[in-house]
Amino acid sequence: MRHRENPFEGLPWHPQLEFISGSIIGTGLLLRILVSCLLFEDRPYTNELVNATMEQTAFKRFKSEIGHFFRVSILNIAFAAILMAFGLTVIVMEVVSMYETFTTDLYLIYSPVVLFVAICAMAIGFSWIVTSARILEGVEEIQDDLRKLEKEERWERKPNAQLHESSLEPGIGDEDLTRLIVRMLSHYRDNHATINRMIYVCMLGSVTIFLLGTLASLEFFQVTSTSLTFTIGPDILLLPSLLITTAIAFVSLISSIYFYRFSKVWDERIGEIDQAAALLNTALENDGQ
Amino acid sequence: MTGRRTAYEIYWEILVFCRKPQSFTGIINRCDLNSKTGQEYLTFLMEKGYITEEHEGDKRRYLSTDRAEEYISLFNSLYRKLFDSAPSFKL
Repeated sequence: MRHRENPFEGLPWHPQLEFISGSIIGTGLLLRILVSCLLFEDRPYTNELVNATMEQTAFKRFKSEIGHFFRVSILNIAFAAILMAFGLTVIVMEVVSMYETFTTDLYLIYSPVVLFVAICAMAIGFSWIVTSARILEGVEEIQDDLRKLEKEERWERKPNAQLHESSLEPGIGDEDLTRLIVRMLSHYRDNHATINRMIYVCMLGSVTIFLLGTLASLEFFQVTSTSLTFTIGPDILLLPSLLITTAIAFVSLISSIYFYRFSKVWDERIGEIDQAAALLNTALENDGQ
Repeated sequence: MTGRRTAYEIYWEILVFCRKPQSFTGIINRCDLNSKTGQEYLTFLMEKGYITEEHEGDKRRYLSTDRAEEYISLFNSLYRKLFDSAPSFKL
């Protein structure tokens, strides 16, 4: 059995576990690429969103926002799964190391830092999956209905409705769009706290996976009052793993920023609706006289 | 439609649904209301003249009046307005 020198000296190192860890990270990377492709699958539409202009209709804007929200939610689930798998791998490695350390009288120098971070990563990953799935479910239903309405290709105006000009665009009528907006607002109100929590969980997950990746890749680490010294290795294969982990952490941070932006926009919309409530109240009270 | 909604959203949902005569059970099922709150909403709308009650034999049906269209139209325009302008940042 090979022992490598590291800050947690005395811990045995298992090449096979290192291989498993590498495989999981590799799979994670593939998953990440897949999700990234999903995110940009309809490129022209994405460009329309990025260069959001005034002529873009309410329907297109709503559709693109729902689409992006859906994709960011999927991205989060994928990332959470990677984080959980990564955490689990490190826990297994640490448990084996711990067993061997304690059976070879090296327990005095055993440090549980990595194990603690791995447990945190797994717990965060699990709660993240549950949270993201809950949010995804509602958005997916709305998106399905949106697609269904588009398929129906309804160009006809409803007889009693006073419809907006842009309702002439294919696929959706004025009231159908309003119904979906109300549903999305209602879904947002229901999950407001969860989405806010997700912003922080996302950031925390990002930091945790970065720490975990870094700690697992360090051979030597020393902090003094004047210097910070570290060595990556000894295996050169650990470097790509470290880079991948850093990339995942970075993308996760971006997801968090996206959720923050969505949240901010929808909070503003809820605020506008609250202001409009006075107008609706007046309409209800006056018209009924 | 489920989830947390404002009273105005529920009124709108009821009024749009009642463009064709609807039973009380149909309304509360469609709008995901319990019978108590459903009755409160319907009573309010009937008092204000947005909904009328029709009797088809033993059955009672509720139908939106012409007045309701003005509220529906205002509601639609206000909610559409939310998406009339792009967010202040690039998504």
